[in-house]
Amino acid sequence: MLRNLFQYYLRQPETLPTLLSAELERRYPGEKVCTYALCDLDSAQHFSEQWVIIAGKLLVTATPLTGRDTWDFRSFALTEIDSFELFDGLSSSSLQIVGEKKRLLASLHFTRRQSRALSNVQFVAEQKKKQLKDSSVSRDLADGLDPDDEYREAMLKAIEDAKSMLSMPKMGVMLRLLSYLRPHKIPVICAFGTAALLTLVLLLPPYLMRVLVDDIIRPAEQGKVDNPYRMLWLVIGALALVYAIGEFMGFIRMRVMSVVGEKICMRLREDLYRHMQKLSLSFFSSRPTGTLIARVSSDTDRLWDFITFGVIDIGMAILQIIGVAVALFFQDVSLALLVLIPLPIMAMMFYFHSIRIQVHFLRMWRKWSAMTAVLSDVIPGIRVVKAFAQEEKEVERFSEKNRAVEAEAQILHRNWTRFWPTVVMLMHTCTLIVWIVGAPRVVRYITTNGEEGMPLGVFLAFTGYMWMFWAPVQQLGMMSRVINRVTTSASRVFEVLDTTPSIVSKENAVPPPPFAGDVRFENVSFSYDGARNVLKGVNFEVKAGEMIGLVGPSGSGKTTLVNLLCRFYDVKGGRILLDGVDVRDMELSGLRRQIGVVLQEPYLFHGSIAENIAYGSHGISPRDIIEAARAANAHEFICGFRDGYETIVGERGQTLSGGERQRISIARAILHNPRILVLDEATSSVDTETERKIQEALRRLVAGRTTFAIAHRLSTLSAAKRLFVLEDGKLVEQGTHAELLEKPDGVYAKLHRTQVELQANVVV
Amino acid sequence: MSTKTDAASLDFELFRREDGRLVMRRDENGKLTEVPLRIACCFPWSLREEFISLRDDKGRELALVEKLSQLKPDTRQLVEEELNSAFFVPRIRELLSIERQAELFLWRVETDSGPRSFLTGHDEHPRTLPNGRILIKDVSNDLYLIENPKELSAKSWKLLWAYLD
Repeated sequence: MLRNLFQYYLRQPETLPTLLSAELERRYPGEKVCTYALCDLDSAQHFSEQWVIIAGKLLVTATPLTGRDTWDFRSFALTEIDSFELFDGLSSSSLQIVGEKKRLLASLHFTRRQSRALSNVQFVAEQKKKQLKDSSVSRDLADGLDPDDEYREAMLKAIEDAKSMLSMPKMGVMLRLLSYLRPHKIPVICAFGTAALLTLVLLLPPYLMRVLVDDIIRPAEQGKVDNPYRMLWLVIGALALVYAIGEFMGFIRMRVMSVVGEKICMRLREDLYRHMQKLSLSFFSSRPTGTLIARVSSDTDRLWDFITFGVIDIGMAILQIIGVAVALFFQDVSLALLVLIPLPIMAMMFYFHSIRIQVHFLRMWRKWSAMTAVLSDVIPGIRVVKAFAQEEKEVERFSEKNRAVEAEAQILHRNWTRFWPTVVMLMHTCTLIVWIVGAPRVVRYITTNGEEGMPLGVFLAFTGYMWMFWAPVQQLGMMSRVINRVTTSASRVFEVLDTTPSIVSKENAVPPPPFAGDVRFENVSFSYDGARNVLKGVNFEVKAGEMIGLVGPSGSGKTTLVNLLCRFYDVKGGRILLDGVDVRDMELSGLRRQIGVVLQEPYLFHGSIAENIAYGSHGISPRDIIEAARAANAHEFICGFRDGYETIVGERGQTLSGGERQRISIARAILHNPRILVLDEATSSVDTETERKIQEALRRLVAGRTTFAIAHRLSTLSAAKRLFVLEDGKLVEQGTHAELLEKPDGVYAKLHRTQVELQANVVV
Repeated sequence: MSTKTDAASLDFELFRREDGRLVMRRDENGKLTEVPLRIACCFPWSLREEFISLRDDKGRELALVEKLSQLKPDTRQLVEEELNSAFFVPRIRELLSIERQAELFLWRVETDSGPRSFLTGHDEHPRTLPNGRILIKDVSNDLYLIENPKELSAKSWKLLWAYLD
């Protein structure tokens, strides 16, 4: 299986070539292969093959010589290597192996997919070098690992990750959509039953026409019947009855299916939204909001259309084709054969047409979502647009996408409108053939006085049936367009449903008991993209109730650190312990319920201030809300509003000032009463009075909780019990504000100096 | 740390050290310093020959070359070499097949660097760059470039077309 994956996806050897390892053993006896990697680029940037191997005390590179059974070997003692220099390029990297006196030993080039295996090689080489130079270092490192497994795992990681993002759908999209009908068995069967009956009943009118002509009118013409009117009224009555039954059946089917369709779509929308809520942050950060909204709204709507009308229409059309075909044969076998001849041709035309048009639908969908993406991108940022007077530019941006939608739709329409007349022409040709063959036979029937040929009634009934035959064929053809549309929409919907959240509670994980609040990071490292490490081996321990200020230049990993604490992402290396338990072993919502977050840009939902304060807390009385607001210094200004706590704040709380919004979010956190608090302090300046009020509110909030504050304000920094200084993903300094200031060359001291200078400028 | 781009800051010499590193030698207050360089391109997709940032290993900018043509020919050649290796992206010449597997796509292509197959994620579509070139990113973050989509063969274009935005 693994062997296949390698060949299938990567087209590169799945282990060190056997010839190569044999040759290695012969040349360097006793040197055991520890790890290896493939460098798939040569210095001229052509894809090629060069292996780099750590064997015993050596680093060996091997390049195949033409002829393929010999190798060009170069080897260096690990102790001879001074350093490894990695250069990450756009799509390729190079690793320079540098010896003593800056002598270049080897220069390896490779693409990103090899990076992981090469970083293994570099890691093992460095560890072994240390062991060789200093025998006190433990020797077991990397010796117990199977080099083949390591290499395989490193190579397949990216592929497996991409695959694990999807729980592979087992059924075709259509079948899967139909499976949603299952809970509604009885109404669906009922609708199908009436539809089938309707189809059968509608087969009668042409037959009645035949009876009318051949058994009543013609005999009456020839004076063969005494009282034609009795029969006549009977036939007319029968026709009326057929139509009445038909109408009633049609009504039942529509009513039942529209009800079922709506229920199914409601369920789909809900499933979809529920599933989205479960997905991890990384899912949302990689997709425009607009396309996600489109999937929940317009895509499910299209599915309704299909379930309500499409499914049964298709069933009915097929049934009608069969029924009419039987009726045609019943009327006249030779003519019926003539009508059926073009059917396979048509089926093929429809098939190829639907394949061609499917691609257009896919493109169309993508253009559509690009257009909605513009909307969901720009409308929340409308203030920026107006401030920069970019209305015209934005209109242009939208209309560009809009035009693209139109252009794509036109191509689509051109395609099917061109297809349609061809089909209709084929039908007309058939009718012509029937006339050419049938009409002379009717004439002969009359001239021979009924001895040979075809009675007029049969001919009329036949042509009637023939039109009934084309109607469902035509409908099926139209349906292929609907089906294409629907499969596109359905697969978009299922795509979301099939994405598995990357952060989930372990099976049978239990909700953690109330935390004391001890936090411990053990050698934590993390990377968002798998390439650049944002945190590199962070270690610290925080006691319950301690307040920690996180400082460091932007991009140093402060926000990442708290993201990991909340388990918005999982660590890539090391672990995070809360009260001695790994966060990954805790039930997720239980964990997050005990961690409170006050964000830099507080997000207020559409609703009243009271609702916003109570967000995330249960069983809250109005008094609780007021007390929380008081503690957050928000009570005063809230009472100043005409609607008090019932003031509705806009989608983003735009009717409030920044300081007010911040205090509401502090009140929210106070009410939430978390054991561990994350404070992402705003850099934006507010006036001194507001600042004082916010500080006061924060002090009350922080009291008694383990707090991590991403701090910028000096007042917060000096309030913190300890400061952690991060730089380039590493914890470089820690201590109190005063302690850190005493180190003149310290990172914090430097940061602080610039901060003070800046503030001095602002104050003046 | 000077980030000014006046003529004075381009007053340096580049050479390749024994270990393969590109090194900047310049006069700093009368003292001759040698710093190994890393190169960054500010607009790697549209202005490959302009705004080249020369930085030390810690990512501090030592000089910003506004146009490669401002450099002395031999210096320029060294910078170009470095750029070529750091900003190398395989260029797709021909598409052989695009196989859909659930929502992942397996591409088999012929590039200037040889044949290649790669897998793209379910939400990763080829991106059209401002100047009409097309960029594809695979699951390992490797990039592939189609320099001139119009020059692709009809067969390649037919394959690619359905996935373009």
